[in-house]
Amino acid sequence: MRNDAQFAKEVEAAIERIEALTCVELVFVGRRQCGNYRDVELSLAIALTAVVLAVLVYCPVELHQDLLLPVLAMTFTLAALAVARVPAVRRPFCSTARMRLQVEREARLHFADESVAATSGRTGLLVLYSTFEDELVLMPDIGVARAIESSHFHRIVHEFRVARASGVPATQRALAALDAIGAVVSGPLPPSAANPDELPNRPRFYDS
Amino acid sequence: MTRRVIAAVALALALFLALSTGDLQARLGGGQSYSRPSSSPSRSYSSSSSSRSGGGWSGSSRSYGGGSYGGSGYRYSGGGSSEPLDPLALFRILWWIFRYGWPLWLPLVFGTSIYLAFKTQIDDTVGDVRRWVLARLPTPPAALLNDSAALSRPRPDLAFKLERLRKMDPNFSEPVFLDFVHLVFARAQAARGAREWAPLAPYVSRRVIEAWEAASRPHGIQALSAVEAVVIGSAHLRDIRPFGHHAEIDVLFEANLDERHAPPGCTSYVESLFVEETWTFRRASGVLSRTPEEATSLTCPSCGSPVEVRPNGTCTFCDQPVLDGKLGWTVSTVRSWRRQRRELIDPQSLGGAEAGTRAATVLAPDLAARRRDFQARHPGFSWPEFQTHVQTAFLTLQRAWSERNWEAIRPFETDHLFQTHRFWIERYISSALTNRCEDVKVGKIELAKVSSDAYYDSLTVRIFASMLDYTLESGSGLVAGSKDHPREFSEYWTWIRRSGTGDFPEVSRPAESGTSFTSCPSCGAPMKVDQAGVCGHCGSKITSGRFGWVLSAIEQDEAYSG
Repeated sequence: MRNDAQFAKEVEAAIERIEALTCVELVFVGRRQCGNYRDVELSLAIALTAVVLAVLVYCPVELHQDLLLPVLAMTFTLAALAVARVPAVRRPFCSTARMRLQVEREARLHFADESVAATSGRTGLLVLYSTFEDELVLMPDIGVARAIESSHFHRIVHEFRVARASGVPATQRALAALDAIGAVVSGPLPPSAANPDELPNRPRFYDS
Repeated sequence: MTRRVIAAVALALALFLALSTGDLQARLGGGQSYSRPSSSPSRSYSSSSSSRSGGGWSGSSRSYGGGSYGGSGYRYSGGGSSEPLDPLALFRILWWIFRYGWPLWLPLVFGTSIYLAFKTQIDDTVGDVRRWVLARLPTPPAALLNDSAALSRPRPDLAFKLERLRKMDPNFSEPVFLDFVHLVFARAQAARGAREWAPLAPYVSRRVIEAWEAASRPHGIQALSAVEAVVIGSAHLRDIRPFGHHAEIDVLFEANLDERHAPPGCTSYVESLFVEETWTFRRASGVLSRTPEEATSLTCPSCGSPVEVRPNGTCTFCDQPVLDGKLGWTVSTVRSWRRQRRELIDPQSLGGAEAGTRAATVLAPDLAARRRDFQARHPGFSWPEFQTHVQTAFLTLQRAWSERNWEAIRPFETDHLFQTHRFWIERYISSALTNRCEDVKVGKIELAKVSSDAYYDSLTVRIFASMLDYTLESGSGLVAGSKDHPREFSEYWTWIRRSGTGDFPEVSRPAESGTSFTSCPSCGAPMKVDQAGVCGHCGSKITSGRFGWVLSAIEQDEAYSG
């Protein structure tokens, strides 16, 4: 997602369009992955190494004993690297609940790091999308939470997940979610007379 | 991290030691057999056979004693010679176990290392499996338990399962769900008599409908003609099973209803019944709960149109499959525990329980944090004003209860709580009893819990009060309680209010700290509200929580658990 300059432009344009109709300040953050899944990577590497060890033990072909440790070590290292680099291998072994929890935790950290609360009316709203987990988290500041029931944001995330199950591309879903956010916030939180742009509109992308 | 480092080091050391033993290497190197002791038993036999040639067993493979086996260090004491204990015997045994017992200890070390490294994840998984199994164990009926009170007690892990359900469905709201099940129960009972199931097709499963139709036709003759005057006394969440492809919620209902029977050729008659039933509501996982307005409209759960379902189970307007809980809660099972003629209230059973009044207030563990969050979201909220509102409501309710005037109660109660109070008022009336509450004094009002869900903020307060509580029977006077000695008691009252302004920006922000009981909070006209909680002047449903705090639950202190 970081390398998709076109997507970044579309997000920025969507944010500008939405903020013209509301006093809410949107902050979009894209991440490749939230948290770490090292335990899954190591577990899979250990499992694969154990399989290789069993093959070596029971294989009729003789292997010199001095090669045993290097083979196992290399197997473990390559397997760990492969699992770490190939999300499609790792994802089936990560539960949905865990992935959602890690994305939510990172959202809380980004809420502080991006200074989403630094608005005069506490009308910031963080939108975090994580590519590996394919999850979207919306985190409104208290000024937004006061005016709008959380059920609306839950519904946007739910529709995002339903569209995921239907095979809609992630970028398209993210843009649709932004439009839905605009429809929800523009009524209860209309723009002020000055409507200053207190938070940058450009999306931030992080690789780790 | 330290635990994982230790586990990794232990595992690496174990592997290194295991692989460094010559025997193991030899095995992995191509199947060479273990090296045998240097001297074979046959050689020892030949050396000892000379001493036994005079008799006994010569050349027998069963000559024992005296001979030593080879030079591998295994020495058996025997033949009259006593040898001192080997001081390194323990070490040798351990070394033997280490060298030859690796099929035992290596997996043990391996498994322990893995467990230590991923203890948290493993414990979570084991806990989930345990709860999954427990959730699927059948709830024994009260008849087996011989304890009808057990029916009304929720399972101890209900709070956990509710949280689990909210993780799957963040829009789930208990007040909304209770309002929904009240409505389904009342409509389904009426439909049971009228046998008009079409409007309820998405909400009651075919199996339940068929069972009811069969029950209404004893011996094949249609007897039941109508079900009327359905009043729900209580509806409790009994159990939640949020696992698997479907989520299920058990709701225990206590209700009064009148069944009109008109068998052909016979005089019709009315049976006034008290029923106690558990209804299981079922829904597919991954479905988001609807808004309070949608949940209490009983329209198509997909498009909101009036329900018209094709034989294949799809809505005629939106073509979505709406049966079997695919889009919303459906009654999948009804279990009847009690069905008896309505009894008069036993006046001896009346009177508030004083047990628990002296007990410490059950405070929510996150009360301070939740209160700060609530205060930050609602800077106009004033706790003293809210206490005044609670006190006024408490006094108003006690007076209305004494006067059996449900109209005075209606403006500040939710639909399902009002149904409960109306149930008891009617039971008192039918029993010719009047429960009087006089000289009511409110003591302390203590905040116990602050919570919020997708639609409602809720505040639970503990009210300490005292009053003269006695019961009169028409014609015979005092039957319970005392007119002279006040009773001290405490109760937990839960108030709810819609959070935010939602889809109704034209509605003014909900009253921060209270609600007027004398004028409509929507139009300001003198309060005039019907049984549905709708203002007679402006038509606004003032008990929806949009206009201020409404009372959602009253729990006795010995029953409240947080």
